[in-house]
Amino acid sequence: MRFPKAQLVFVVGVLLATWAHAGLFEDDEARKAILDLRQRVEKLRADTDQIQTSSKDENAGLGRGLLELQRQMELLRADLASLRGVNEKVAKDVADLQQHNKDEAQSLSERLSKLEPAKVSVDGVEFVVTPAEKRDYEAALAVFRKGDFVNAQSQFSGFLSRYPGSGYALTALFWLGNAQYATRDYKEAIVNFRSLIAKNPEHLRAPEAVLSVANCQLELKDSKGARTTLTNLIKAYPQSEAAVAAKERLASLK
Amino acid sequence: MRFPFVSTLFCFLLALFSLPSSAQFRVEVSGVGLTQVPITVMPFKGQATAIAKISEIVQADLERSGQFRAVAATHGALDEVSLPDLSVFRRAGSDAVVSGSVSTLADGRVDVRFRLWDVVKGQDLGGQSFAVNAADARLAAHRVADYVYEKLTGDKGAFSTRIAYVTKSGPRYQLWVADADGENAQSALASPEPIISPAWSPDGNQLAYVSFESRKPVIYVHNVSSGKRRLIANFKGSNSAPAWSPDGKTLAVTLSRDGGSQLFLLSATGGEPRRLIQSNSIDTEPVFSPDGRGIYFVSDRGGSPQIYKVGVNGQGVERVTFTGAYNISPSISQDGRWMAYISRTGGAFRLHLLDIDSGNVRVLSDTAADESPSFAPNSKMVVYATQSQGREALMTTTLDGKVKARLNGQNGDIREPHWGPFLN
Repeated sequence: MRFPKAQLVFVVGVLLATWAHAGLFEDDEARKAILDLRQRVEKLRADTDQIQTSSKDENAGLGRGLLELQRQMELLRADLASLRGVNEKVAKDVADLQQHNKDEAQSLSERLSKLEPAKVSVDGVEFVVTPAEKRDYEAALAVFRKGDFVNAQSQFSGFLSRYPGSGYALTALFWLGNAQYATRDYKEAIVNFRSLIAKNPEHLRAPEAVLSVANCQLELKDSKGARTTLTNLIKAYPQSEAAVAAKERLASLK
Repeated sequence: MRFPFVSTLFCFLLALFSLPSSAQFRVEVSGVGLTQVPITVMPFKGQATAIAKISEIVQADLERSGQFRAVAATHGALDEVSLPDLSVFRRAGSDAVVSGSVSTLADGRVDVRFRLWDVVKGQDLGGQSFAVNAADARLAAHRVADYVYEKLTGDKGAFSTRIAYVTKSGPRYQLWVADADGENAQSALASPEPIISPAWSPDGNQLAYVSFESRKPVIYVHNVSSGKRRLIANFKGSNSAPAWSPDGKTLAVTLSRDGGSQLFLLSATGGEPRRLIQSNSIDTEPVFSPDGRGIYFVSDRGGSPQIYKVGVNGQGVERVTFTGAYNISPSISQDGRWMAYISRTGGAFRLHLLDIDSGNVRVLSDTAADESPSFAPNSKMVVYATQSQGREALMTTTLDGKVKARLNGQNGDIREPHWGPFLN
């Protein structure tokens, strides 16, 4: 396609006119706007830099804080573990000590019971005896039970002189009298039976002791004395088994 | 390394092995037991031409148990049908005599026969005969030793059982299954990467172990007779320390898949593991108690590695070891009375034995690098790995520590023993 020459000149002229007009009226304003914008951009950049710097600092601080927290957690974890270990050991030690204490206490009480006074009950009377007292009394009684009346006498006599205030004393007197009766030492037997009755007429063995006195008197051919003794026995202890025996004995004496 | 008991596991992996491996062992008995039965094991008739010197194997077995003292044979040939002149043995100080014979049958099998005599009472204590494949001649000898042991001590003998162990020579790791005296080893697996922690299943047919062949620890269960194996645990992180429940249905394992080494229970056929306990410590090396109700394990929850016990339901953790600051690798005897374990004392890692009921502890070794103790199924002996003269070796010891025998690798370093169950 070809343009005619005149047409071309016109078009160029119009274009130039338009450009000249724009330059005349808007150049300064645009320049100002650009400068203004440039300034704003600069300011924004400065602001951003500042924000970046400060947030970098903050981040670094946070990181350090986190590391420190982590470190502290590790320390706590290690502390906790060692405390748990100590606790486990202490718990075990306490358990061992408890066990040990129990064992000790048991063996102590076993050993002490051999030394400590203990409550016993003989012939309906309760009293406290020392281990030695108990041992000696039981030894004497064992000799009597074996039928060794000679040794039983010396054992019971020995017992009575060693432990005159013993709770076993009256019972010991009873067995001593019996041992003496068995060895035909009737006079001494009567003394001991009477001593028992005098010390405690309410003693469980008292009626039997009275009966034994009568038996001794009969052995000594003192039938009058025996009769009196038996009569007194029936009067004093009417409910006793000994009284029943005394009645039979009296009847046979008549 | 932060947790030293993990590092002992790995020092084995890093250790340099310079000698080629071999399956052959020699038994050396040292130490003196207090009440040993003096016994004469006569050379078996025909054993000079047989595959195995039966009488020597029997004698070594009996001596290793610590219950017997060998008295040399004073005169020549005797077999299971001869009527021995017991007064000769009595004069030599023997309380018992074993005599027997070995012969090869027409089909190639080996016939081992023997008789046991009580010299003191002048009594025939019976005998047996085994016709076995030639390859099992040593097994027949171990059965003879089992018979003698049971007749004279009243306890079941464990000589005809098997042990598993690992050797390394050059870059080659091998898992072996051997007789209880360490000999007659058959290779179960060879790998250029480490194999550790073999553990026998209660029926003696399978071995669980950890293999690094995929460049990380994973757990396999390996059928010993078929050689077939299956991958049991290959989770993220490490998979280690398998231990069988007494019924063979469950494995206790250590997994780090959720971070940190923690104990899990896993079906022996695989599948999803169940967490046994949750802790923020390292929990590892589980072993079941023989009644299957508890699991012993190692944990550093108390600041140093100690052995603990927990119910199989994960409840009721209680500490078991209190002497020493470093106790690892528990093994519980089948009768439930004893726990063998490794304790560090004065810088040395030594085999210790705990009387579980009384809490009393005794040291069983005077070596410095003991590892991996494992009880014989009759609860009377312990096999363990140690270093002797700069070499890795396996030792057996009696429970009083008085009689030890070295299962002596001629050409290799041997580690990670695990004593198998009774075989029927």
